[in-house]
Amino acid sequence: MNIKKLAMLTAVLAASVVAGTAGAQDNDKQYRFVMVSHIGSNDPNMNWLTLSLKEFEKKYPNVKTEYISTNNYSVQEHVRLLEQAIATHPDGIAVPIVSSDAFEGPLRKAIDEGIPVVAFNIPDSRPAGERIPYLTYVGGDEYLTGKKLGEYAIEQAKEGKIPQPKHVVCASHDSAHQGLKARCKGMKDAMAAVGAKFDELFIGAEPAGARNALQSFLQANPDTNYIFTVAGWSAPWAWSVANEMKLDPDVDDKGMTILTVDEGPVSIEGVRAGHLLATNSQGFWLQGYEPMEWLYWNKKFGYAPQSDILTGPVIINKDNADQWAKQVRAVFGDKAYDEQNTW
Amino acid sequence: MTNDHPLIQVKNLDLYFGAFHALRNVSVDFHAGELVGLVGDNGAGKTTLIRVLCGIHAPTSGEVFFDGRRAEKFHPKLAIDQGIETIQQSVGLCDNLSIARNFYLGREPVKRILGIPFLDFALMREKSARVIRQFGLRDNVSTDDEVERLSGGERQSVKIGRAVEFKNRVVIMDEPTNHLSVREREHVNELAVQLKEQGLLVIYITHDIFQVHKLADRIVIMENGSKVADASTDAMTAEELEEVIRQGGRVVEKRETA
Amino acid sequence: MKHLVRSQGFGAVIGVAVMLAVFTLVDFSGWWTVPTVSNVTQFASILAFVTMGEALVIMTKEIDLSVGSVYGLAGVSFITLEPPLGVPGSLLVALLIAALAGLGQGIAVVKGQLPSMIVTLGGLFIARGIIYVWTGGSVHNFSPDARAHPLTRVLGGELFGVEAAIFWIVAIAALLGLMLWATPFGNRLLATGGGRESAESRGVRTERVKIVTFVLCSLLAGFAGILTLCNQPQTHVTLGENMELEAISAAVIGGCLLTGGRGSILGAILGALIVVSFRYELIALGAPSSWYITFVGVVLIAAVIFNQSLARRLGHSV
Repeated sequence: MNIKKLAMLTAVLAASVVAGTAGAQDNDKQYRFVMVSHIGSNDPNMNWLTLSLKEFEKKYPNVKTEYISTNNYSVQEHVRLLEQAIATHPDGIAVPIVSSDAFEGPLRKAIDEGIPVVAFNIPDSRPAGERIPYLTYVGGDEYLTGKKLGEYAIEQAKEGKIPQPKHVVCASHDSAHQGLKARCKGMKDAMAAVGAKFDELFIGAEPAGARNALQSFLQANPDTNYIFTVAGWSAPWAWSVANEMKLDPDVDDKGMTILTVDEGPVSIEGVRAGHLLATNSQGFWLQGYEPMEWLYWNKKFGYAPQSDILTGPVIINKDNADQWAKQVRAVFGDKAYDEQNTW
Repeated sequence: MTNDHPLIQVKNLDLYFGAFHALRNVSVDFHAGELVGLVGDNGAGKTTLIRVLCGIHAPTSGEVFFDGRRAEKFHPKLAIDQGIETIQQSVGLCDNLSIARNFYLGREPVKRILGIPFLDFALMREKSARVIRQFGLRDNVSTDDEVERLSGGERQSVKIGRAVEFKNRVVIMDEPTNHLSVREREHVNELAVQLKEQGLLVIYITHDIFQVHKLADRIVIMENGSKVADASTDAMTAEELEEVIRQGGRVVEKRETA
Repeated sequence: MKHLVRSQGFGAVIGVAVMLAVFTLVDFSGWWTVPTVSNVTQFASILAFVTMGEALVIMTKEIDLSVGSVYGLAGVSFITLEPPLGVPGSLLVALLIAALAGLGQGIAVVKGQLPSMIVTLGGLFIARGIIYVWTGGSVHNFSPDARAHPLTRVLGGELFGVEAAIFWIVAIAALLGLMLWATPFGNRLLATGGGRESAESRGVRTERVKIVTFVLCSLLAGFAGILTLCNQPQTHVTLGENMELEAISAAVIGGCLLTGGRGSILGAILGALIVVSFRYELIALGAPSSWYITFVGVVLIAAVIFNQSLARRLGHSV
């Protein structure tokens, strides 16, 4: 984005914010909450949040919500947007803690000024005492994502619908990402309960390289019968590698079983087609709605939740996948949904 | 031997490298069938002048006429196409290539197979070996060997052999006898005279006024980027010319046309 | 034999021999199986395409950091343009896009007299950025019709149980090897890298040589992207990410000297084979797979030291 466009965007932003403030002064019960998000309009996932904000405004007519994000994402850009938002003195802020270091300063300043802050989608992962003192965290839990999916698989195996896990590989595309590590850890702990072997495999994000790595692993470890991909978009790669190796990757009582994450079209369609056993939802819609609700009741009565609010994980399997597909289609729009279905 | 119409005519040539004034208002004519000695100390501008003639540098101002036509663009390829062969001191051989490949670099002989031009290795080896051996090349060195294995004299042999092989209208020799043995040196000098006698223009650059005086029809002396003397060897002795170099700067214009 | 020893690929020949010997010793039963060998050779041949182009560029004493992104861009174009243009049409347009990327960068390097490191770093970001903007973060899959198209099968299928990519690499490597070794253009390419001024003084248009080489490099990277997707049309915007590093490493391991003028097509292919084999064997031996990149680094440095001492022994000045 060039400077001119950026300046224009900033101006428009500032104008809308000023107009909002003016409105609030007319009616003292009017609140203005800002969601400073890491999900830009080029990602259809944004609609989960914007649609839930719209729904929230309907239920709470005296609240005006704003959704701010950028398409060319960087932490610096995000911090800049956050600082701009704080400068307009909103009544509350919801923000994902993408980087606790970078967000610490501006958020502490906002909290000191009396602006309540709710973390959504990504918490401050540091120990309780060192955290940014936000009101609460609304979102999923990476560890539980892995754990619940693992437990679901074990249940299915006990019923004889899928093979017992012998050797599970967690295929991760980013070896430095704490969230992905936590997903693998959750799966590992679940599988430890039934004594299955577990490996974490760094496959990288590059499709050919990832296939190569996964194929190498499966050849060297032929007892592997579960693959857990910690991103939805790498699930088709895992499936096609296993399929090419004639490991029978579709969901049945033999061969390979594949699990993935996210309520994106790839994951859901994979489940519907019988390629994937299950995926999960982090309750994305709630991650837009719920922070606003807590900001509202905090503002109004001073309520504050005493623990994090987990909106997920919810298991998506072949029983509820159709329902999810319909819902995600409504959020994404047919075009984006079909485009993202890369099976 | 010479005719009225110069083969190469340089008019009021100036060349700057940044602030450095490398050539100062140089004008000089060269005729076909002439062997011209271009003499001067290090940094006098001899090499810079011939680098303009062979297309490596473009002049800042001034004109160069080749065969009466004004040169508009300067590129080694254009100079070569005009028939100017240059034996340069520091450049001309790629160390990573074999002798045969260097010999034919830029004008490789090809055999076409299905219309695709393939290098004619047999011709390249055979002919380059024959030509270069005249000028000195150890018997145990093959033309498939890389140039970096060669001694200084052998490298010079490759360059000279190449210039002779592709001789066209002009052969420019920049210190051609450096690194050569006495016998090889004589051979090169004889060759320069032979080329001249075949009607080519030979420009022979050297420090050694006494050596070139014996060969040349005319001596051009450069000093500090300017031409300071231009005299036929009949008109001035080597000692007189050496005096000019020693004094530096006094322009001498004595020339007799034959 | 003498010819082979003196060629730039010789270090890589030894490298492959040593590597195979070691892998045989430590993991005989795992390594010498049909699936392993076919897995490794298939991915090695895809990397080898990119590496060959990179090697040619390095031989002209330039470098191309954009190959991974161009590989991705061509692949993504091929998939994304297939619905409107059909398989042959999108194949041509994807290759054209790759060629234009190379042409643009080549011209910028030569005419702008800019360091290729900077120009192609820009190219890397630009091409990747275009992928993101164009696809909005996700890349289509081929329709069943497109997958069954004869052209897709020829590029990405199997022949006699051997992946098509392997036939393609053999054919195109042979052509490139001939071009480099036995044509005037090859002679001028090596001369451009070995001594630009000398080449120019012999009338070689080194600027054109460089531009053509950049185009060739991008075309090879693009073709590799297309081959990959013909075989496995499910892909992602990360297609080709970090591939430039693997390709440069493979080229260097294969005996290309960054000082220009020396390198070989055979070496490039063997370099790619070494890089991919290491990835397999590290995973097979149960080393944490994030170690792969560390090992590539170690092999790279070892290869540079080995190739240089080999070159010195042969009397090359390096």
